[in-house]
Amino acid sequence: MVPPGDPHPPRAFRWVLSFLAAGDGSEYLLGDLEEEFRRRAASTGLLVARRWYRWHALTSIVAWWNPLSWLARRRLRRQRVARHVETAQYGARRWPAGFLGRAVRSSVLPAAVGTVMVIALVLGMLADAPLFQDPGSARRAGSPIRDQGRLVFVHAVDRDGQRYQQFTFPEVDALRTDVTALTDLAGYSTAQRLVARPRSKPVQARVARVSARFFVALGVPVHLGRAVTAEEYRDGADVVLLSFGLWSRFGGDSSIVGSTISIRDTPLTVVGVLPADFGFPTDADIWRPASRWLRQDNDREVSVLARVAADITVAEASAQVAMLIRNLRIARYSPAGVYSAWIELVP
Amino acid sequence: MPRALGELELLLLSAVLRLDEEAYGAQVLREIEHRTGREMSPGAVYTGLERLEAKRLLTSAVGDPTPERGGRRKRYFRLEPAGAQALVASLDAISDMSRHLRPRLRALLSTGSV
Repeated sequence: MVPPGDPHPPRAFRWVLSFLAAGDGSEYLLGDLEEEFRRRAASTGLLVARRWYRWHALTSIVAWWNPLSWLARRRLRRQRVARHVETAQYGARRWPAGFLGRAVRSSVLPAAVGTVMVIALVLGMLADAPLFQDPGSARRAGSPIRDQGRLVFVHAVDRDGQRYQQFTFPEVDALRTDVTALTDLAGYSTAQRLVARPRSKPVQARVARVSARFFVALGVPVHLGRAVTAEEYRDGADVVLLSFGLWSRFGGDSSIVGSTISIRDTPLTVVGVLPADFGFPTDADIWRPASRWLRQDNDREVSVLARVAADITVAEASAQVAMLIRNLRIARYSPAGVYSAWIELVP
Repeated sequence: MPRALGELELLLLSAVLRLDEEAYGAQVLREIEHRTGREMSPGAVYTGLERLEAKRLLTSAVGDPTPERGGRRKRYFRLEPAGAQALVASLDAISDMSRHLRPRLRALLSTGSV
């Protein structure tokens, strides 16, 4: 049962998708689209979510009618029937769209409809119609991150010259100490985890483990509750911040502050909720301090965020970081070789 | 010899392996977007997973419906042994090719002839 006031995908596009993609597997595809739509509506707003849905409903139709996909579905149907794995009926689950869909699909009409839609799609893109704009290019209005023009990523480069490498936590600690061109340097890593709450079904969530100064670097205020304190970062306290979207999924009640969730049987106290228009790292739902006993010091999994110091350009900061990396004592921490580093502005 | 994988197949199998028991279309989509920064179509992801299942590199099972999905069920995917072999072979091949090429590429780039 969908609660009242819950956003729905654009009905016209959902109906067209149900009509043209009716049949084996369409239920799961439609479900994936709707789940992703709701998640985006909670994190980026309804307008962006609807534009995303329109675009991907059309591209999904094209993917659905790909001859290779059609052949794969036929083969899968035979495999599943042969295994007697499922007894659920094949074919459309919703009448009359499914009934009409089967009838129409048996004729040349769906090919013509699909062709017209693809042509309309291309013409719309050429005409730069808002309906066809890639919602991925839409910027979030009113981001709460302060002064984004000075915010940078720091990337490691290994001895083979491979860029976009990550650091270990000891390396991040060393960078923070020795690099003067960057301020508020923070490390973060993410992982998918199952989150449990009392008297509720567990949910999947992306958990970001962040070092101290992560939120100082971003300058993001909390929407509800409070931020994690410096002492809690230092002590590795079992506290977390929730995303606005996850808080909404948990009921959107202010009593969430002070309540307990658990990840891998570790109870964690919710101390705050972040604003609706904040979502960094991408898709993160929970932020917790990266305590020393939580992290694996040999794992090269940490991304680094920082601010360029005042009166220094990004290029100057990048050159200083690269030079320092070669001479830094972090070579002791990474015998495999963090050879160099470079920085880029956060897009 | 394990079959060669295309780029999308490699991403899908890697994401299914990472997500373990929670690998269904929407989660796979988010995992790929998060790891690679590439925005993908749910249709391309789901049909890609179906094609891999048809090739017996994945297997699937149906899950419960949820309100977030409009009351629709999920289809969870799991890596089959053949899929794991194909993934290992492809990752080994990419690793070998990268190791041999980078010094030459650096030399070409430094001379400005590329």
